[in-house]
Amino acid sequence: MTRPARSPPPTPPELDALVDGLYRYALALGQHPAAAEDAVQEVLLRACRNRGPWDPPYLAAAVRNQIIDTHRADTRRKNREQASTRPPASDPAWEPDDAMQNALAALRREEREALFLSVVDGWTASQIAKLTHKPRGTVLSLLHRAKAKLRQRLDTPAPTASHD
Amino acid sequence: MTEPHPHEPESPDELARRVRDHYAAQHASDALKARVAQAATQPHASSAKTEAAAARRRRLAPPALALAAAIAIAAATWLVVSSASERQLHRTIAAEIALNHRKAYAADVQTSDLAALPALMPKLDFTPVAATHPDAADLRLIGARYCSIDDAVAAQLNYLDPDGRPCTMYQARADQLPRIQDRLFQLDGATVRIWTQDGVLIGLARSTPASP
Repeated sequence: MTRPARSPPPTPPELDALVDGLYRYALALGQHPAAAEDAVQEVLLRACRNRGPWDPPYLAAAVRNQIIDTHRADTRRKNREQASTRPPASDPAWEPDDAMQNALAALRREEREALFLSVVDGWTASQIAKLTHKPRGTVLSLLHRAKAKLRQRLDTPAPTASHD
Repeated sequence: MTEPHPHEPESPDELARRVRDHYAAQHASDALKARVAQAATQPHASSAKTEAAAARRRRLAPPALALAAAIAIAAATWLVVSSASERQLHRTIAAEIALNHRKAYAADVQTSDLAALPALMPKLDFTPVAATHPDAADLRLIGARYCSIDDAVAAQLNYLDPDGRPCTMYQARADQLPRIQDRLFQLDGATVRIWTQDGVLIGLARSTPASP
């Protein structure tokens, strides 16, 4: 991803909003609060050290890469520890706590990511395609499947056209 | 966040709204925000160093550029001047050789053995060398005498070419001279070729045939 030009550092309220936004995106990618915070912290401290860039899409991509890197490192570590037959450790402090959480957790990661970027951050399918290096048609398909699964999980029917 | 009735028809934006509400309820911890805010407000040491280095570069760039330009101009000037003065020096040497050649002084020592010359001419401060230039091939040594080139002691070696025409070769120490690849001059009825070989300046002069 091309490194954008340096922009002025965000004001404290803007920084708080940026932290929250990136944290939610990391949740959508990782669904694990501690991992999400770690990734956001890593990316933002790096941005502080390098004095930017503070461009949100750039930072979102950095968070995404950070999570992917961490996931790969974890996978390698788990493979090394395969001798142990214990089930993977889970964070007892975090459990899905409501229906939406459960429904989101049941989505594939790329479906959850596309849904988050589209619905929460308002990105277009083309923008998501660029970030995730997927064809736009694939992104539209991911969005469609994510919504269908959520509706099924939440036991809500598909939206119907209103007839006045 | 209010849950819609399970079988109540959903408006087109209802699912999106619920997803947005879900994520809006998620917040990064205050500890994370505090850490990031602190890092953003306190310039990192390496950033300060980087900034200082950049400032130093910016401060030094114009004088450094000017200095580099001055050095480049001086080097180019020196090259041009030294090249011109070198060419002039070569021409002066060739002219002196042509003059000596025309004088056709008799040899002080008669020998056909180049290796015997150091013993026969003990004042030479160098050892005459067998010229390897193609122009000096097939020449037969008949004698030698002392002479000077550019105020330095030199040897004038008298040769005959295969056609029996006389030609003279001049040799002198060249350790104070820059290396001369091969230069040819036509001067006052003589063709003079000069070059350096094994630390010895060699000049070979032949009379230019008179034009009909």
